[in-house]
Amino acid sequence: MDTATSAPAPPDRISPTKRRIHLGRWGVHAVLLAYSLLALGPTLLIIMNSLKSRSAIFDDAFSLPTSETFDLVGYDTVLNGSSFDVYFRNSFIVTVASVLLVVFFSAMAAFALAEYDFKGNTMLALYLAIGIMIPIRLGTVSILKLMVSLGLINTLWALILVYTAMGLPLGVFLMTQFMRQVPRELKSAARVDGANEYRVFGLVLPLVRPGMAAVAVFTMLPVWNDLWFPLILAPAEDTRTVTLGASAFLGQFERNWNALLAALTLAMVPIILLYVIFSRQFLRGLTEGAIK
Amino acid sequence: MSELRLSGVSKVYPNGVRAVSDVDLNIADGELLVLVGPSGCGKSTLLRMIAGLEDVTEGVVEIDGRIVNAETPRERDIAMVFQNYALYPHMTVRKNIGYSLRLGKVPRDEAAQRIEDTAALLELTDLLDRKPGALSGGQRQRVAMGRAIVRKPAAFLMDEPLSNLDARLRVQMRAEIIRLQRSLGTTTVYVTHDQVEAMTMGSRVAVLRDGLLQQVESPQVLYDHPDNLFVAAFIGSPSMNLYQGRIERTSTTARAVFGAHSFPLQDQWTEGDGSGGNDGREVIVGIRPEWLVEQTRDNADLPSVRVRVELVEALGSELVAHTTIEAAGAEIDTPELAEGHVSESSDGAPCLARLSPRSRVAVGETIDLAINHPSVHLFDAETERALRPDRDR
Ligand SMILES: Nc1ncnc2c1ncn2[C@@H]1O[C@H](COP(=O)(O)OP(=O)(O)O)[C@@H](O)[C@H]1O
Ligand SMILES: [Mg+2]
Repeated sequence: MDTATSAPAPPDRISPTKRRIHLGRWGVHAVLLAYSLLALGPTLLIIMNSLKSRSAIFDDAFSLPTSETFDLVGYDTVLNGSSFDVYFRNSFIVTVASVLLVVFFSAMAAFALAEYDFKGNTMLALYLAIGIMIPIRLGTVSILKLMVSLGLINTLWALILVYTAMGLPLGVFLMTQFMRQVPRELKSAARVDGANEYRVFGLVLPLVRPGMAAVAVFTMLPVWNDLWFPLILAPAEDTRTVTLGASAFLGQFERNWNALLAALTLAMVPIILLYVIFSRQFLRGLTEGAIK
Repeated sequence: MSELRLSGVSKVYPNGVRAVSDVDLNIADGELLVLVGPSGCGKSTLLRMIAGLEDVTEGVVEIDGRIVNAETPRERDIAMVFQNYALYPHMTVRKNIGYSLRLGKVPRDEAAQRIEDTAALLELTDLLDRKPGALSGGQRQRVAMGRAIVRKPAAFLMDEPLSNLDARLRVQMRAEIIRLQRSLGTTTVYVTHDQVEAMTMGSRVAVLRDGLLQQVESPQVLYDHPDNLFVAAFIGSPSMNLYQGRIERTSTTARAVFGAHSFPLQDQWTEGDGSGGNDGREVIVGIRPEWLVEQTRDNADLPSVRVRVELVEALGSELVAHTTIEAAGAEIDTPELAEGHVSESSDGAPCLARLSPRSRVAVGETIDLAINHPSVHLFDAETERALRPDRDR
């Protein structure tokens, strides 16, 4: 019997194992740290250079702004010389509306998929999952035609609808996992207490808040950053989003680097704020230990 | 307050599992009926069908003569208590208890009053503003009860409400539930897998096995006259000793023979046409552990069995002797009952005896135990049905 003979482990065998775990942890941290630097580097570069004069950007892009090179001309251009307030409002409306719709509809669909035993349940879930793998941009031409015939070109609705469709597959998939974790007896108790199905859904929602926050975060980022659909569906001056507005500084002949970098820096602020709000919800949901 | 009636109720789940088969059951107005059976036998399924949480595959469920098969739980006005309590984790105790009242559009003042009254009844008043996460197991259990009581429903359904509590609290809550049920007079179906709980709580106990109702009787009748082998083995603790045996009959005498032992059967077995109809019939012989006593000069005329003592548990009020007997044990294919009845030991089958605490039995000894009971239980080896002299003679 192998196990019997090796069972009383000699005491010195414990520490190497521990050391290995420590090494493993350091390794993981090193990788994560490197990745963070890689991800943050360009961001820092953008912020740094947005605060410098044009010549300083070209002289040495990697140096911090000094008293000589410090220049807010980019911000001046963005805030006073263009209608960025409108762009920001547009981006904000589109992002928040899409996120809300995606979260709400994916919660509803996930509730049905997780809760009800109906014919084609699995098929429907698979069909929705296909949407995760196939990029919605493949359908751009049809979407454009559709929006034209609906008369929605150059409206924020066009963007909101497309982004809702874009976010739903992953949203439904994630929410279904969370919905499955809500104990069956909790829903039974609500039904016995006299709740109809909408009430049961309403009762379950607070319990899947971490899931909703996760879906919100995953939906929000690509929507806020998207350049493609604003360019195709809503390029008009008064429906432009921040990303599209910023790209205007990348003219064919002249590039206003100061303004571009300033616009990109400003564009980060709301998304970071939204992220903080949602991730707080996420953490609160987790620590509450609501689902037991 | 209402009467529940199940007629031919069956449940087949979409995956093909037949959880409940053809159950007929009437629960009178105000009665506390206990539904007992090993886990997985379909108790929860049956309860969920009564509540309207699960479709009834076949049969009819009636509440007060009204067929409710197609009604939603909401329309049936039945309250249910779940094993894991199923409290709404994000609501305070007050909101948990009041949830059904809010949905039922009970006026605010009246709802508040009823919540207060219920809380007082269950000693929850100080906890009303806490959330379930900040309550102990026993308190959560009481909140779950409160949620049911506050509604004044037509009936209570309780699905193993005490099985998550420790033993002491369980005994206490058991008494509490009985007291509440009596004072409220609400028709109640109480589900448990614990036969002790079933025996102490129910005025009538329904025994369920593999979705089939075995017997519905008062605890005493279940104990004294089990209808079949399963009920015999399931009811009683420690459970009945069961051995493979045979009836040997002449025109004037009859006895049940098991292994090296035999037990004379009552006169009824030999009355009648005297054709010896049961001679050689394969049976299973059942002897309750509490019928066995130490053989003394006073009871030397009683039939006895010879056993070897393997282990003695002194419980203060009694001695439980684990012994082996020279006979073939009878098996029941329900894992929960495996306690003392799986045979297959080379030197005989296990035999449990509840002896007086003053008995002097020592481990390793071979002793004679008298069967201090006028009869033994006999079951047909084939059908496992109880044999009665008046019926099967
Ligand atoms: N939703 C379900 N789908 C399929 N089978 C189920 C479902 N619920 C219970 N069962 C099966 O039905 C049988 C009875 O289950 P249950 O009523 O929960 O038993 P009990 O409450 O007596 O332990 C078990 O075999 C169980 O696996
Ligand atoms: Mg159960």
